[in-house]
Amino acid sequence: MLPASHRDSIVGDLEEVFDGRVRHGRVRASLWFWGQALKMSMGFARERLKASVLTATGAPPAGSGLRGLGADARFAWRLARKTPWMTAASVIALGGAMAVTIGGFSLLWDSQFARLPFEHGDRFVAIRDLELEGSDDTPPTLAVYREWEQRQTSLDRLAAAFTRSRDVSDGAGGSARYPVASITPAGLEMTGVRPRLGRALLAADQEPGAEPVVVVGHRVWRVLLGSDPGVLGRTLIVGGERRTVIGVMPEGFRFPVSDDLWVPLDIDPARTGGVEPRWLRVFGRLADGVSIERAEAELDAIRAGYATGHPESPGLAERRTSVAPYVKTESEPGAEVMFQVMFLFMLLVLAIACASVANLLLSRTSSRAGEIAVRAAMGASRGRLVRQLLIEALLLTAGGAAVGVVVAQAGLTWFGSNVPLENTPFWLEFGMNPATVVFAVVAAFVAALLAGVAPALKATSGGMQHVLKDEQRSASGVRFGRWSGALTVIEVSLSVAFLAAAALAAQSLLDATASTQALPSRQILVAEVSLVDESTEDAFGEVVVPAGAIPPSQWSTVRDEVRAAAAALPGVGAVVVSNPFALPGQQHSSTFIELEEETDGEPATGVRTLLASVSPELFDAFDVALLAGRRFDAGDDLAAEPVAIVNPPMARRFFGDGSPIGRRFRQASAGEAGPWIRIVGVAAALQMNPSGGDQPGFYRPIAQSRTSRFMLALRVGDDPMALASALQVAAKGVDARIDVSNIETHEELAKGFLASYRLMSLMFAALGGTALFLSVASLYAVMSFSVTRRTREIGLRVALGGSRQRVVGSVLRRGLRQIGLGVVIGAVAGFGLLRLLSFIPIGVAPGGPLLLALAAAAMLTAGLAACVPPAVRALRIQPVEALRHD
Amino acid sequence: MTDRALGELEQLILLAILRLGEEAYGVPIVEEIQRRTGREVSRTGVYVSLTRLERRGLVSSRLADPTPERGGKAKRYFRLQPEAIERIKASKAALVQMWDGLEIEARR
Repeated sequence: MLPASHRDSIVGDLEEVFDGRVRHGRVRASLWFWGQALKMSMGFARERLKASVLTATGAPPAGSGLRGLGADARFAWRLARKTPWMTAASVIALGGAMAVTIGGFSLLWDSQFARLPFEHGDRFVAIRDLELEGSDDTPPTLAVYREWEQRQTSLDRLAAAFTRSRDVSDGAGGSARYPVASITPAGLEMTGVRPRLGRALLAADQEPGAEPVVVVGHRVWRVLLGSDPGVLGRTLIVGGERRTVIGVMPEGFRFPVSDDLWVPLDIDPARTGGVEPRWLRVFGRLADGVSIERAEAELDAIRAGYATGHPESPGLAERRTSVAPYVKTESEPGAEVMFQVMFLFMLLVLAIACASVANLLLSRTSSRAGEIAVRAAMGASRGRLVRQLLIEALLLTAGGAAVGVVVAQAGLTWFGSNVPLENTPFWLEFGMNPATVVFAVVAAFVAALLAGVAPALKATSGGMQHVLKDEQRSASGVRFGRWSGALTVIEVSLSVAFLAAAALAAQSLLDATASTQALPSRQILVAEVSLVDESTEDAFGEVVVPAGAIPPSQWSTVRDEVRAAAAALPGVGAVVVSNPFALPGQQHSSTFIELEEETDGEPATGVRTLLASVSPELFDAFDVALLAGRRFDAGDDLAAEPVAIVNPPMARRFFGDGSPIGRRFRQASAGEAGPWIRIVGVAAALQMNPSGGDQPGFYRPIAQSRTSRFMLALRVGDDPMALASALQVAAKGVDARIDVSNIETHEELAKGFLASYRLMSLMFAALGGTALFLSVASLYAVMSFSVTRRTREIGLRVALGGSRQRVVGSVLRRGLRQIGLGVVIGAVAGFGLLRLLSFIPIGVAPGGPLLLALAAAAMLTAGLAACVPPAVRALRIQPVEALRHD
Repeated sequence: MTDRALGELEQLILLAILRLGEEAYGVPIVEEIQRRTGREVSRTGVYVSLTRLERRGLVSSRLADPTPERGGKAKRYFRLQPEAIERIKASKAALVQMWDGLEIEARR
């Protein structure tokens, strides 16, 4: 919008001022910059419009400046009330689309740019290591952290923490599970937040021999400790350790992410014994005036230096250290992209809504061609007329934005109250932030431009004389055919594509629910068991654990004992032990495999194959029949040949008609040295992913793997939860160091995994429904406008003996052509969208073509229905009416 | 078109350019007006007016060599055309004539 000759220098000027403002916060400066850029564009656009009017008319536009605005707005308001249906349709359409977009924007903004509510919150950064290959996140090691602590200068605070979910009890019977952060004292101190009671952690609390202490969050204090004002000095049992309460943090404080209790983090190598926390989170505050890039360069150099000096530390050299704004690190790189794609979809819906409103405006404007021509004839300049029409559009989009803000706020509040607190970082607010409001206002203006400019320019283009003449003959208004036709086609095609995606997601949900219901889910109790908190592989691939923890050599024995203890509980039938995420209905992990010999089936290369390590009882507990071969037995242990039982899709796909029994394969990730795994059986299909899709997969005996974390599944009678505490006690009875968590029925477990499907199908259904509504509204508007416009022509043709059917056919033909074209384009786009969705790693039900056909049929029906009322009206036109139409 | 009287912002801009001499580009022009008048002016208004004054032949502009600062984007310097001098003189004279004999200033 800026004049080309001045664009660079103006942007340069803005950048110069921006650089000066960045000191007061980058986000604010960026907002300022874009605000200025927007204002400039609008200012120059206005200037250009004025200039063109000036050259066209040789006189300044009448009523330019602010004076005419009020009158224009009042006129727009009257017009909106005179055409209530059109106004309602526009506001509803825009409101729906805006709600989706505004809500999405709010979440996106919070997750990417939220300001931490601390002093110098904008200087908080997170420090991560990224693998050079694949850029995967990997936690920094304690050794490197210590090195940073000693050498770095670009941060004025540096801290580390990691979070575990722990049973916390007050020693008097009250107990609950909370996220507990082990954190270096600097981590609490850097926030500048003072405890509500007592004190925060101090360096002295980290010293050897210091009294074990804990700082509790407001929620724990209120719920578990009954808001006891004399809580300081009381003893809490946190994950089996007795700790003295020394402080209570104020309400809402959940730093570093969503934590409820804080204990000192021990980073002394002498005491940790080289064991790394499962996921160390390192963060800090940039020193005044230091850029993120400089801090990153320094920390990376320190890590690289340490890696060179310690070649025995595995993998340290194949990383790079990354420093990023604090809030950005919570969303994984993939999630960020997913979020942005979703946001693009939302913008697309908003664009369709604008197109629809543009269509409605086009038809309303064209029926006012006479009025516009008269205004022009009486001296209104084109600029003035365009402004009038734009204000009419703005009134509609502002209404839509207002509806959108209210709906988005309600939706976010609902969403926020339905997401467990443990899973939400403390900076997510689930509400309107200032940036969102700015976004809503900008969206309303942009939407007004999108929806209003085309009708306005179209209606005021060319000489007005012919319109006036036309109007006298009352034949046709301004010709809008091509514009509105194209808009309708776009809407129809997007409806088809979205509806198909919605149907696909819904189908996945139904399939998944059906497969879960086929299982005896309600009679199965599941629990997560963890034998040790932390374990680390050392340079020789040996697993080391902290002193006092259950040593790896005992893991399989303890696992068997826990299984036996659970089986001995009253009323318990089969007891399954499996790897985490290996129970039916959970998303199993996947791998690529290679077959030893060629088979009749398709090549296995590049096909994601699911895997689970389970105990033989899985097949009893979930009533799964063995179709061929044998079960796992006691002989299938670490010393024996690796074996597997495959599911029917794997047998069918990779082995064709031949029997898979006795064949061998191996995991491609293990490379040439990987052991061959012999297939000993084929079991009936069990859901290895939430949707229960037809994905190949195989089971391995858990006795052939070594893991300290596993799932227990107990087949019980009708009320599995009644056994929950008995199971806890039984496991602790085997070894008090064992941690049992997330005890629930299998039904609940499977439901959790279905939540993403529900969300996805809801989202696409909302998008598809909105698009459908929009296209029906457009079709109806365009068709009924066309009938009105051609009343005289239709009447004449009927009077001259034309058959009504043919006349109406000629009216309908255009609408039908648009629907047809839209459906075809939508089917192609929808096919692409379905393909895209099936790449999402969670299983998506097959059956795309059928769903597309259904979506297309739905669109056709709705589209035809929209054409019926105008067609009926056309049928009823009497020749006399045509003559009266003047 | 050129004989349209100067608006207030246009006068302020022309005077700022005159004051800044060789250093008159967008950023200091805005700052000069804000510093001297003590009030906020719309940045957009200033830039739009500058192009309009240029179109009316009252100011001319030249692009300096780009420097590494400000994203490598060159500054556009403005200077008054002789006609502009005449016009602001006329504006001032008109104002002075109108003020002649009035004493509001003294009471302030």
